[in-house]
Amino acid sequence: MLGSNMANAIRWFAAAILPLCLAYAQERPEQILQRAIALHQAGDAEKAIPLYREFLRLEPQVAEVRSNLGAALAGTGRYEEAIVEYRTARKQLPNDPRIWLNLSLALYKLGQISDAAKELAGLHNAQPGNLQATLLLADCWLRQGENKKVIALLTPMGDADRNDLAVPYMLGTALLQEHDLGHGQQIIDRILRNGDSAEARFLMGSAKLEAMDFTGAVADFSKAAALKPDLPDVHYYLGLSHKEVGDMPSARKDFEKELEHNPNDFGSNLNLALMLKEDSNYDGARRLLERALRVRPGDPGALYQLASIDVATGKLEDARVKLETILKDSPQFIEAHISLATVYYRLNRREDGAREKAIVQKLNEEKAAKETKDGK
Amino acid sequence: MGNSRHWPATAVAIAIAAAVSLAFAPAAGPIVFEEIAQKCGLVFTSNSSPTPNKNQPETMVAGVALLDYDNDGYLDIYVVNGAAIPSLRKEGPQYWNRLFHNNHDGTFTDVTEKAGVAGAGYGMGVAVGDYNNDGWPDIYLASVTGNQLFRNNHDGTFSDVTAKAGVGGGMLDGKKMWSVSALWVDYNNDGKLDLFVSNYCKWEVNKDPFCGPSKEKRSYCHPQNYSPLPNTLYRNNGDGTFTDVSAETGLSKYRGKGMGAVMADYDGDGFMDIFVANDTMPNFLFHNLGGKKFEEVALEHGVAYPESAKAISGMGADFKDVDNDGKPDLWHTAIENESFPLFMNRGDQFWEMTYKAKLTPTRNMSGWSNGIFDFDNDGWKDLFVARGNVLDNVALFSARKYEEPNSVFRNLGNGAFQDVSATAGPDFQIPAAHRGVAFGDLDNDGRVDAVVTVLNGKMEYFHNVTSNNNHWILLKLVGVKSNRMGLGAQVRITTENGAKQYNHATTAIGYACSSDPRIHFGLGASKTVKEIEIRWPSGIRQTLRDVPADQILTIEERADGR
Repeated sequence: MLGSNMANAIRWFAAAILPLCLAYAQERPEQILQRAIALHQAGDAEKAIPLYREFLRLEPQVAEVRSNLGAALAGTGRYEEAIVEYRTARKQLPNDPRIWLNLSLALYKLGQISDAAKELAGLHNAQPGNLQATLLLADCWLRQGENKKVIALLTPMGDADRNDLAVPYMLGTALLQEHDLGHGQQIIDRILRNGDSAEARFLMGSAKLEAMDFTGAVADFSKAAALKPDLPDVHYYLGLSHKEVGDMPSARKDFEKELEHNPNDFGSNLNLALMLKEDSNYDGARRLLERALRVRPGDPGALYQLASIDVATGKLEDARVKLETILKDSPQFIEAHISLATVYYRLNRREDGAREKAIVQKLNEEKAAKETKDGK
Repeated sequence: MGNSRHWPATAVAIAIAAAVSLAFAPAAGPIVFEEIAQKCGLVFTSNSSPTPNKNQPETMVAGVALLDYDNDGYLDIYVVNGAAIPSLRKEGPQYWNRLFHNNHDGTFTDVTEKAGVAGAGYGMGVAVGDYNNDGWPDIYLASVTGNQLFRNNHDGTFSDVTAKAGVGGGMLDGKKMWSVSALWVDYNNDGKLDLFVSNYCKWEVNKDPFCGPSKEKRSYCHPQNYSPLPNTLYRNNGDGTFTDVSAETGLSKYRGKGMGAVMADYDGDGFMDIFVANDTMPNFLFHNLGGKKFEEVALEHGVAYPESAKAISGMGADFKDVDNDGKPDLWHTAIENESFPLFMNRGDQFWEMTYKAKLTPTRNMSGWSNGIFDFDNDGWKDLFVARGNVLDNVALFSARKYEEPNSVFRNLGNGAFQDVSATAGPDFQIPAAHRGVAFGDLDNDGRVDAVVTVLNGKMEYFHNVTSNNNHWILLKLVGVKSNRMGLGAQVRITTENGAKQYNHATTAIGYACSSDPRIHFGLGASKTVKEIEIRWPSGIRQTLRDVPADQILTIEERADGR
């Protein structure tokens, strides 16, 4: 994506912007852009970001460069910011499938699966032949439990490319989750007959994790990690699976390993922090949470965990400030209301505590009503 | 709430704390149990009638009680059983509840038929209390179907007086609510035991939704699939009848999924408060407002949720002072990935200390009934939990196993516990689908034993064979102005070196179970108890001095306080 976007941007720049830029006395926009691109291509996205921003300050309408900025931000785990840039770029170039796909990917990476699926469904309608979009859409739907949609989406292309394991794998998973064991298992077997691959194992593990087949997930992620130890997120998901089966020592090692490969992996930082917190290693947990918050500034979950460390260590005022901040942006965050109520009561602010308690009760009732409606 | 309402504050708290840690040095030997049920004639296999429909009650059978039903000085055992599905009736002897008489020689005899306590319907919990103050313990059964009250006839038999007493269980929308646990408590201190019943959720046989990853792996559903229920409180009218005062006392407006229900006077105001562990809903702490009403204050006092602020699967609970500071603490069980929270009572607030107390291993456990007792008589109450996964087929989709061994955690006296299960004897390592556990000194040797039920498996009797030179005392209270069993009486003892311990009389324990009503204290090296102070529910304070250790002491309530 970076390469093709970059080429377009430079061509566009040469034709439209270059003459204008000559007027600048200081570093010209194209020089800024060239430096940004060079750094980005050299893998230093962090340093490229301010240069992209500087260029866009001067030339805010260049959608390709904004898309590059999005890519750099996503590359450093700053998905929220990337999404903002991609959305702006989408407005500027509404029909550019690459920007659309990148926006979807960023949403996906951020865990906003529902939003990602909406974008991908639009992209799939516009470009039914876009394999990457189709596969990602199928994966989103799988994660949402929309198995029938996955089956309808992938069945026509089930045998399209026998070397591409992703299609039959996801189709098989959807069939299995719809309890169509016969067809599902046939497809999974076919995947495995074609040979093993880390990616296939990773997908199989993901589906099993989703289906709460935690033992199966451990086996698949372990295999994926063995086949390709630097596969992004593989140790993180292996850690999640180990955690689910109760193998905390292994989970801890997995999260640590993921952080060796990717120190900014949000989930690994968060999960490892929770484990350190359980060991009463509050300083260690705090360090990891602060790193997670650098990756996702203001993330309410990570900030909440920091607040809960404050509560556990008796720093009630610090906790109060954090919790109140969280709730300004996330008023439905019930755990934060619960903790804030506790903090108020401990600070002897009974009226504030009672107010939070009433909110907790209301949110609990709403949650219970929703669960009843959803048939849970 | 201030400390002044607890036991009289000591001016030398710090010095006492130091003395306590010196006084109760760790016992010499490990806590050890041997499992001797079969050897003793305790032959009982529970039957929950598991079906492919995965009816929710099938995984929850059942409670056990330790009671001296014939007043011969030895605890007998009553165990609750399930019923046939879908009839929910005890269609044959395989579903009977069982009463085992203690023969005083290490053996037991099944006297169920003679006693007339086989029960009816699908059983869950049991609570023992002398509701008519005749000096003989009566039995109350909390059930999926109608609850039952068996009055003790003093001749080894019981009569079902449910209808007359009017305690067949609370109704909602024309249906009897599914009860799990019950608790005898004199909530208004009028000298008569009242009855609190925890109710679980709305449920109908063979109408559970489908849950699980596939047809072959159908599982018991998450409690979120069922609607919550209010709890029930019956006030004892003193004439063999009870009045449902759930609404009058303010309890009926709170709906939860009640499992274990236990009591303690957490704020030292002289009235028993009630804690209910709710399954996947915030717990309830019902503060007793002078014996007239209850207010629900779990969130205010920090026990509604663990520190994570997520509602967990509350199962069994116990409500006793684990750090000898005179304030009852709370420990309840949950399922895997949740940990069993330990809430320490700090006066105005409870603080969750699970991880600081080194109870981190509980994160990997699935717990049911539990208890806080001093198993090695070192002066510090330890923790015991009966374990087993909720899902009988959990191994199909997880590395977890359905059967788990029980666990015991030794109180180190410094705020931390040590998981000493591995050294608690070979029998203790055997996994099973444990559910209920009740505690008591079955052989009157001063060591607290445990009787554990196993879902669709054989009952276990963990005989405490811990070997050390520690001393003990067991107090049998006889109320006169207070209820005859003295339930709710609060006891403080002072040992030779000035160290203090606290406990209170209750039979309610863990999940659906009922324990020895006698109050046990481990005394460490102390050969005498310098002082025993009892605060009876009537308000009478009674003090005994220089009491020799290693005895079962009957104490009758005396208005003159001696």
